[in-house]
Amino acid sequence: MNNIKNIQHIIDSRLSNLKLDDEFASKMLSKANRPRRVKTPLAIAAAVCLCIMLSIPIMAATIPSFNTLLSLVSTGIAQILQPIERVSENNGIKMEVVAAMNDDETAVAYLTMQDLTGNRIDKTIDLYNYSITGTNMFTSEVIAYDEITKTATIRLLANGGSKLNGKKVTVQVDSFLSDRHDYKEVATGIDLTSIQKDPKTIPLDMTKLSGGGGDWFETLRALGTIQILKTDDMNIALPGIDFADISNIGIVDGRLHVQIKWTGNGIDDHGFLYLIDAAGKIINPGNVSFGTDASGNTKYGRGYEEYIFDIGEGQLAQFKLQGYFVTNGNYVKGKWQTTFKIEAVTKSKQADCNIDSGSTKISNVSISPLGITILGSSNTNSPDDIDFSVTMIDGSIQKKFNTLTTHSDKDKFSSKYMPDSPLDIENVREVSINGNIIKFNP
Amino acid sequence: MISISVPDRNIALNINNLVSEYGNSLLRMCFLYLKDIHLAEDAVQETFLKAYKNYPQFKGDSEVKTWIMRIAINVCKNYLRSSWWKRVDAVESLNSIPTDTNMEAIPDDTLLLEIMRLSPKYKEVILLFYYQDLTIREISHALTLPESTVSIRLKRARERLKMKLKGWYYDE
Repeated sequence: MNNIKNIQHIIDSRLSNLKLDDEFASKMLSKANRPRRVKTPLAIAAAVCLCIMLSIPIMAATIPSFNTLLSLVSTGIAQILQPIERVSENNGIKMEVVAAMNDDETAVAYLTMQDLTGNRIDKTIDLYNYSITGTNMFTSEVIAYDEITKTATIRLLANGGSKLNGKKVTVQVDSFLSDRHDYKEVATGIDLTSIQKDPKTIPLDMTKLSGGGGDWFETLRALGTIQILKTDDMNIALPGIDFADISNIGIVDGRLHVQIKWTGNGIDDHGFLYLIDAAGKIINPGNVSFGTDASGNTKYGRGYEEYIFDIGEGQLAQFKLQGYFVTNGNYVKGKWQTTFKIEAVTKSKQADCNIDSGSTKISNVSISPLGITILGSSNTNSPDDIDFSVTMIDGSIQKKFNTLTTHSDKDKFSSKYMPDSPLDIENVREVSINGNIIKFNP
Repeated sequence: MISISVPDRNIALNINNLVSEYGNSLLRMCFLYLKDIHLAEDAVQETFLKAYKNYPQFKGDSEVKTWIMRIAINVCKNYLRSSWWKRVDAVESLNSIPTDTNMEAIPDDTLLLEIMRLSPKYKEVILLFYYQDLTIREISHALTLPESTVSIRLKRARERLKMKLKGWYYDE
């Protein structure tokens, strides 16, 4: 039976073939009683050699925070991590950059954040203002949280660098959020059939948005100026939510519009609305963020969010309006920064090429454990979809590249495809790009 | 004055008894801790060697079993420190150990794999408590940690296992 209490039985049964041989004790005793034969000078020489050969890994292994990190990451990542262990303390909070890995365009730093004086750091910590010098695109993710020491371990991924390897970089964190509260499936309770069919509207210049997204966003943006609901024409409370309310709702240009006003003090309060029918089918909106001036005209800002559903009056009866909202109890500012030199454990390999796929031309491909970088030019806003695969020496094909970041400057672009686990570049035979083969090993 | 004679403490350790009593379970524990059969064998040998050589200094302030476990865990920790670059995947490592066809069939390796994947601090308390049958107090002696810390780690380790073992029968 699968039962945690049977652990002894499960281990002994499964590992029953793991046994010490009958001679174990006698062999061990003979070894224990054997006189040491190594002469002192030879022992010293051996020790010196070992110190030199093993100094880097042993240095790494004696750093407690680095060891802890190694237990949190995969074997592949552990093999290419460079121990850093640089600490910065401010506002009662300690930041330690524990380790890093990099190639020429990408740097990954593993850092820990620990509150030495309070409880401002929890497992929901979210870095807000942060950077790694020499790069320009950042994401961060909490990979572990130790409740006993109240320490969060965070992976910071930075892309868009150039010739990073061997450079000194500074990791800087200026603020973070924590004490996150998620409110899921918030039912607004609004009867959608009774909403205004001809509400007051105001124009919104789609070039002056602070944000937007969703299925309809590009269609809406292409219109240049759209009509949205007049702000603050209503004040409908959202059940259980004290940092947002519905400031207007109605049908505009044949579509359902719902306007949310952010009323709390949270710097990153956010959420989204959706429609759901009896069968659980969900309709997502397009959304636009904006602010208003004293006269109620729209301007750049994020005081309001309008959700626009491609659902007309005739379909409203079948849906309920629900929402998902997020707020944070803490927004902590400070200055935590450390500078160190990053050096890749494994050097990148690169190859020039001349691949012309119409609007996109590819001139260089480099491979590193962190991923594949493709350099080229494109006369469109973004390079065409690039179909590529990596063939290893043993014939296996690596196609799992789940992260893509593209950096464009005028017509030049650099696209980085990152795998889930580090790429074993010594065993990469070739990279195929849109059917063109680039060999890295014979 | 009354003189009472007490027998001398027998400082010779019967290593054969110790190996036959704890040898195999130590080997299995070290394997789960280190995820490498060869390292585990070396760790067990080093553990018994240390026990044999240091027994005269053993003060008897804990059970011999607790003392042996303490040595074994410390040896394993040292091995982990010096072998971080050659850590192997738990699945691959466990697959290298053949099952015994004469033993009761084991449905899957889920539990063992999840134990192997725990961080060392959680793995050691789970193994000492559930596999070696040590009490919280004995584990606190073995790991030189306060009993409260051991309890918390055990609780956290159970929670982690419970989370990972969804769909797998788990009994508090």
